[in-house]
Amino acid sequence: MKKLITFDNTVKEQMLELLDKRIDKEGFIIEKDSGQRVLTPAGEEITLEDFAGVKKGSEIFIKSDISALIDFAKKK
Amino acid sequence: MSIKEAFKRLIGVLGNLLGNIKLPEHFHIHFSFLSNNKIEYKKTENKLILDYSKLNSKQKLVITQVVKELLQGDYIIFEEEANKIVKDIQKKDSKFEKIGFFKDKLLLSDYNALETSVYIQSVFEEGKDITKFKRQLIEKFGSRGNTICKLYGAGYFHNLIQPLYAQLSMEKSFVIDDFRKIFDRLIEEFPFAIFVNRTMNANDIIAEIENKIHKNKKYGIQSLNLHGINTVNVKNIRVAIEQLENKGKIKIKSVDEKDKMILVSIEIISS
Repeated sequence: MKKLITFDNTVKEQMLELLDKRIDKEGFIIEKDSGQRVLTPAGEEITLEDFAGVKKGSEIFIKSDISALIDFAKKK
Repeated sequence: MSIKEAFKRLIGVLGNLLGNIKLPEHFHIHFSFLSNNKIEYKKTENKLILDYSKLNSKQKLVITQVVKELLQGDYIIFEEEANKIVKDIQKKDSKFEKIGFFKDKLLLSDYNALETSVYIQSVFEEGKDITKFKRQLIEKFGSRGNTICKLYGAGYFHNLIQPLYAQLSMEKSFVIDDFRKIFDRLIEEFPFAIFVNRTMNANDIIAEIENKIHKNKKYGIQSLNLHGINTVNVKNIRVAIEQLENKGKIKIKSVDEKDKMILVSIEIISS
């Protein structure tokens, strides 16, 4: 994994702010402008807790559960 | 803005914050909470640590633009702990290769649960805590995923399910659904095994064995394996099988016990 920017678990919200996203009342990540919930490639909504990262122009969200990370590791 | 320009811009905006630090053209960017500083550079790791919350609005704006530019240039922004897990998964690639046989034979969700089980088992074998991963497995794949995990951990995929597929596939009329139907039954009932958990006492284990004996008679299954991990479960299994053997309901074929784990194979005695 060469082209990588990393962040600590404690600054997740700041990373979302940087990516023009925020959290709705129910804890899901939403677009700052439209308020629309972001989706993973599998079509799942994603909470702050489940947020592991983003690739390709802040459009593809990666979840932090083990199954999603296995899938991500295999595709890289 | 090219990647090179993006890094140059980042160095430029940090200006005075860098002090005597001389950054190379490329470095690893990491965001974190820093108790005393706004930035920190770890030369040995070529890693620039930024505390985004402490930066001024101009610095924040430029860093946001730089990060977005890097993301457009195939960079990935990734949480450190998740990154460590991904690296660990990649190191264990050979373990995943061993289940490749099942890829086109199981339903996709079952295969994904099996992959997750492979990782969980490998972490378990390293003596590390798997509670979080097991919870995630169950959240995603339900009790079916949990059963797949148990069966994989006990070796049934390679010792029983793979040979079962080989045998079935030799039939001329074989279609994949023949295998999947049997696989479904194995997952729903696992008639050949009991996985003893912490909520089961010796009487519960006896009841479960008797239940399986009753069901298995229908299918002519003559043997049953009991699996248990931890001292209490091992003890309860031993109490249960001794009582059933004394009643003449089973015959103990083998007992394999090590490191607080037990595997007991029993033969069902026909009444």
